[in-house]
Amino acid sequence: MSRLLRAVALLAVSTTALSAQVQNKQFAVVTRLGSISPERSASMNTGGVIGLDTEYSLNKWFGIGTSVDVMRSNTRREDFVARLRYGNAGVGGGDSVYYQALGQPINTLHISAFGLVRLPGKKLSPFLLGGVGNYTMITDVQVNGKDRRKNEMSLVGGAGVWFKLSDRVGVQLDARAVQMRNYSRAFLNPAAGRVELNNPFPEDFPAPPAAKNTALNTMFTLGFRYLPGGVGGSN
Amino acid sequence: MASMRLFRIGAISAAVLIASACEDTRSTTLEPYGDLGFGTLLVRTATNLPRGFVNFPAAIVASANPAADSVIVTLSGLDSLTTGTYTVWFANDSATKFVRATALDIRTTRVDSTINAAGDPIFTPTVTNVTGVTGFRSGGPNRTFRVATSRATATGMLATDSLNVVLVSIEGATPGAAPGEVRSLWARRSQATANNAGIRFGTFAPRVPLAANAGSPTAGQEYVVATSSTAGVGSMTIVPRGRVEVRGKILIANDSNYLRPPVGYYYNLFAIKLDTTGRFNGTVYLGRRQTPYPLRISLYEADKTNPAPDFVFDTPRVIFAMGTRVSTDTIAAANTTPAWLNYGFVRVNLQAKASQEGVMGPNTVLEATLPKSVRGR
Repeated sequence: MSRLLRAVALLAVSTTALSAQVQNKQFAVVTRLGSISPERSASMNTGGVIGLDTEYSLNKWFGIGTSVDVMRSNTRREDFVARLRYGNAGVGGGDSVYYQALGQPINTLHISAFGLVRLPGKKLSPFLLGGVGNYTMITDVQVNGKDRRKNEMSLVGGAGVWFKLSDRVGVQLDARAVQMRNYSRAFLNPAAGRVELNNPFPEDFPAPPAAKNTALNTMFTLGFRYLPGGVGGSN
Repeated sequence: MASMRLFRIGAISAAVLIASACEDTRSTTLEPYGDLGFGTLLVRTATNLPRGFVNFPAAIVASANPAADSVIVTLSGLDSLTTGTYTVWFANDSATKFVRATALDIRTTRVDSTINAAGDPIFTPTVTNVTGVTGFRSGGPNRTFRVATSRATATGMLATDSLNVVLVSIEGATPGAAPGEVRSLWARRSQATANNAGIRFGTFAPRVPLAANAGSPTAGQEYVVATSSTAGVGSMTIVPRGRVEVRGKILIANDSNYLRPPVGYYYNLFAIKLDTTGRFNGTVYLGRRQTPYPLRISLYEADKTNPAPDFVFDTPRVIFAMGTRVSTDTIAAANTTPAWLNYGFVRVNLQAKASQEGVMGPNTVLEATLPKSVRGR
């Protein structure tokens, strides 16, 4: 623990000493690529994310910004078991039942506004950010037979660091937690509310964890950071 | 330069991840999830519950010749008992006095059937007689019993005692002065036509419930599960239903809307195996009925207590839902390839606790015919 504290302190000292490179009223644009891993109860697999951040430095310590993330991932098929019945159970021969795991790809558009605090340095600038946003989940039209969308609020928190490569560009690594509010697993089920969900063999299909009305997603991204006008800004 | 290399590697990794995330996992009917299921309905069977009728003597009290005051009890659909004895009692209408009939002349008619060369069923009755017995234990789906006795055989039956109720109980030990708790078959003179009254099957109590509320007897009222006509044709006063589905090794039965069993009875499940010509070849016991998933609580004691209030109601006295799940992993006789090969029927039975558990009795309530995809022929 003490070694970790020393490392943090050393980092803080070193970056503080070099903090003159982040200027006031400076715009930055970050294009990001990465992954998003929902918590298990969300019934989504790990997916990819493409993001675009715009930041505005209020001063060398604080900034504000907006973020647009486009996420795409697949639902966990095994969590959405339905059955397709052929024939009539009431007549001779009965019916035949195909059990299906109804997976589908989900596109999610996530827009957020955030504030950040950074520890500016000459080469290295760690930062923390937090914000609020809105996510729109779009189910697969082919599987659902119609366009279905869900639009709810989100909360964002995270930390990262950017490395300066030149006066104008840098590389950014960050980890963010995106909590989707009013999350509905049933929304991801193409057979929601239909009799096809009646499964008489519940012991024979692994049950997903209990559904929650929030979904915590962990996002890791690698970004390309561009500062129009250079680190020094226009002033 | 090291930072640029890191950046390139990271960018390529992220791109690969995004590309893989864009791979669709849409379901198609060409990819079923596990084994296919084959389902069929559980349908109420024809008359199978204990049934019959009683011929009362013409006189309510003793006539000049009590030995001629015959009481004839005709019964069928009885379980063969292993730990109890069918015992006949006389009582007055309010059941304040019971007297046991001790000299029973029983004529048993067993009907066996065979198929002749032309494919027609041939019925062969076999009649046996016993006299002067105090009770009997035999039963079976193909046996009818004509029990003849008279009020003169009932020790303690005074000439002035009215004979308005005939009760057949199951006594587990030496009978006492009154019948035990399993008072499952009875007839009342007050419900007779020309001294002939259909048997009621359930749990006897002195008072008759309102006809419109027969499934909800209050304390002291009789509880009727099935009634017989004066011709001895019985019918259940409720219509259960359900579904059986076989999926690989697993057989699931989910059914509902049952009357609670009479005291001394319980519901169970059997599968029936067929031979190569489609005839019955044996039975496999699938166990006592339970509540559905996930509780799977045994309903064996639902005749007297309420083991699962979410599924067993006291008013009216019904079992809202039952379930059974079995795997051929624990049933060697059905652990074939494919599983359940040659099994053609699944039956929900109502059976006396005094009979041998695991041996199918005659009282089938519901039956499902398994499809050829399961039985294999």
